[in-house]
Order: sequence, then C-alpha cells, then structure tokens
Amino acid sequence: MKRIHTFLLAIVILVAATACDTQFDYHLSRSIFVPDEDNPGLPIYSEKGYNSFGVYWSLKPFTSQSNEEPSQVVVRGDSCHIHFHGKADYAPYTLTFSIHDFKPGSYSELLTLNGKKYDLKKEQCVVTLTSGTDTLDVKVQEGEFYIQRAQNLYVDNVLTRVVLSGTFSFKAMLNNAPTSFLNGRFDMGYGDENFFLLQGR
Amino acid sequence: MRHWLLLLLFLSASILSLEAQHPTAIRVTAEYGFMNLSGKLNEQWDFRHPPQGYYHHNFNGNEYATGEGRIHYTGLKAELPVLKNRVTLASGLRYTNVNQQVLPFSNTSHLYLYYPAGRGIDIYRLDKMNESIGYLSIPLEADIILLGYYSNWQVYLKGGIQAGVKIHEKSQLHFTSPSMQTHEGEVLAGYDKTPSTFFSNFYGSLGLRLTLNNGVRLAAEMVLPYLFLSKPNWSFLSPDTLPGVQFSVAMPLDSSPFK
Repeated sequence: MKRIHTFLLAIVILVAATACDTQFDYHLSRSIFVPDEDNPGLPIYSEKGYNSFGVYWSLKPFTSQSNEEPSQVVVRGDSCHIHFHGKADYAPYTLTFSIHDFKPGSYSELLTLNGKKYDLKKEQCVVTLTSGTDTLDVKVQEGEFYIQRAQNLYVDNVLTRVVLSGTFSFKAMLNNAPTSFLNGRFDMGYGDENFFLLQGR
Repeated sequence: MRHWLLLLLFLSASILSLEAQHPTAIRVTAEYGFMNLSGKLNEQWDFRHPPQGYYHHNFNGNEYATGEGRIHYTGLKAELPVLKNRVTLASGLRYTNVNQQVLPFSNTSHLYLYYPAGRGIDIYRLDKMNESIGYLSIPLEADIILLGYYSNWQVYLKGGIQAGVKIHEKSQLHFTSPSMQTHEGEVLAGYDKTPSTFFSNFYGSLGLRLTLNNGVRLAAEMVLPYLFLSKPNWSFLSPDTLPGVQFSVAMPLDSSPFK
C-alpha cells in the first residue's frame, strides 16, 4: 500500500513538472521593428505580437530595442503594472502604466483588457517614468491609454501568450517641465516569461 | 536605273537557285528546357518579420521567407518549314513541371506562418513549404530565320503560345513539430488559392541552331520570361519567371537531301 502511494506521488510530481514546463520560443519573444513611414522613427501600429512600442517624447522617438526584453506585466498589490522598456536618445527608460483594481492571476486574464480606454488624468491608470533606479516626477495634464485589442496567441495550436495592442498619448509636467508623449503605439505579447505575479509585496 | 534592275534580277536568281538547295522536310523535335521563378511569394502568405535591425522601407514580412522555384519542360513536336524554309511552324505535346519552395530566412531556423484562423493570432512553425505541379500542354510555335539562311548555322527568333491542363499537383507544409503534420490539410484548406486546372501563356525565344549534313538539327535557345494569359494560381509563388534555356534535337522524317 505504501509502495502504491509512493508510486502515485511520483506520477503526480512528474505531471506537475511537465505542466510547469513553459514553452519559450526565443524568436517569438524578440522585438520586431517595422518602420512607420508616416511617423519616422516609430514602429507601425500592429496587432501581431511584434513586441514593439514607440512614442514621440518631445518629438524624439522613444522605442523598444531588439537586444532587451521590451515589456513586462507585474501584478503587485492591487494593481497591474505594464512596463515598456526602451531607449530615447540612446538613454534607457521605462514607461509604466499602472492599472489600479486590476489583479490578473495569469497572463490569460489580460484578455479582459480588450477595448479598455483609460483617462490618464484619473487615478485608475497612473503613468510613471524611470531612468535606471531614478523615478522621474510625472504629472499628467491630459491623455489616454487605449488597449485597442487583447487576443490570444497560439503557436502550433498551443496558447503561449496574450497580445495587447493599442495606443497612448499624453501631456505632462516632467520634473516641473512641460513635455509631451505623442503618437504612442504598442504591440506586446505576455506569456510565462514576462508575466509576474508578486502577490503580497 | 537599268543597272539597279539588273542587279535586283541577278540577286533574285541567286536566291531562287539557292532555294533549290533547301527542300521542305518535316522534322520531329525533342525538346527540354528550364527557367527559374522570380521567387516572389504570394501575398496571402503572411510570415512573421525578422527581428529589429533588419528592415527596408518596402518591408512586407515576406522577406522573412525565401521563395525558390523552377520550371522544367520536355516535349515532342512536329516542325514544318514554310515560306521557302524561312519560317518553321511547330506543334506537339509538352509536359511542364513547376516546382516551388519556401524556406526560412538565412539566419533563422523556422518559418513563422500567420494563419487566419479567427480565434486570435495563430502561428505555425514550419521548416519549409513546397509544391509540385505537372501540366500537359499543346504548344503552337513559329520561328523565323534572322541570320544564316544560306548557312548550316542559323540564328532565329521564335514566338509561341501554349495551352494546357494540370495533370498532377502536390502541396506540402513541413511542420517543425512532427505532431503538427496531421494538421497539414486543415492549414492548406484555410487559404483561398489553389493551382488552377487550366493555363496558357505566350513565350518567345532567341535561338541558334546547327543543321547537320544528314538533316538533323541541334538548337539552343534563350527563352524569354513567360507571359501568362491565364492565372495559374500557384499556391506559394507568383507566376513571374526569369529567362530560361531550351535545347532541342530535330530529326527529318523523310530522307534528307543533306546526306
């Protein structure tokens, strides 16, 4: 009887180990930049999981880079933080949109963001900008963050990520100086490798 | 004026006397030719773009995949010289095979094909795609001698039209994951384009031929790109061809005066 229990336990552990095995495809995780001819320096607006974003920061392109992870979703406390990592004028920055009262338990729950539009002047969605470990003081005057489409991405019939595609624009006081972030667009895929659930932190 | 008329008369007599040395002879010709396809992919196939850092302002995603194709053909024709052997008419039966292949971009290992399934974004990983189609056609050709009418070496210009039917086809998707191979038919069915049953095209060529003493003709031609009259609707590549080459051997049916 004891042997049967041990055997069953071994099977359960093996199955659990297999279930936790995440399918990570390096090529699908890389950022693809297709230039937008109407917006030089920015990628096109797409809904294909190209893992790219771009925005004119005071008319200078701030975009994702090919040699680093372009985005992460971090669920911490009662908020879902969508981080966009990129470079502006060769300097690294992270632009974050924090959606309050939204706590997805897994990346598949990001589908509920489909069609959601957030007024960035309101508390429901807060913008932060960081440079390394320094957080810049951002006071949004007007703007919006629009998740135009949220959809599943299947690779060989296996669900591997959720793709969020949308646009954003806002004007803000940045360290007490007026600045604008215009014609922003993003097309990001979130799967096991870049979705983080940090409950209780 | 009188001198010019006499000269013209003399030249005509010369031509007529030499004409007697080129009696009409029907020939049976065996031909073989090939040409490459331009490799341009059909727009219905949507592949994932290469990574950032590789882009061109005319990017459309198909640069992620490389298209290759070749047309081979072989046939038998009957040739009939007319207009005092200045023009040769020919017709017969021809088998044409069109081979197409789609391969990943050079520095990547797979093709990432977007599939219009409608449930979100569907991507299939493929190692390659290929298609082989066979046609049986009837060509109608005419060639005219440009140079060497009085010589065994001749340069000629040929024009032709052919119409045919598809007699076999096979399209294959080679999935990276072996377990996905069972979905091949389902994925192919999701695309509208399938090779059409009928096809016809214009073609032209510039050739060089040698007529041997026994009447046998050996010819080599540079074949110009096909001008399709009907859309062949190949699955993977567009029907744009590059110049090709054709070789042929023609045997006279009756006893040759050139023995």
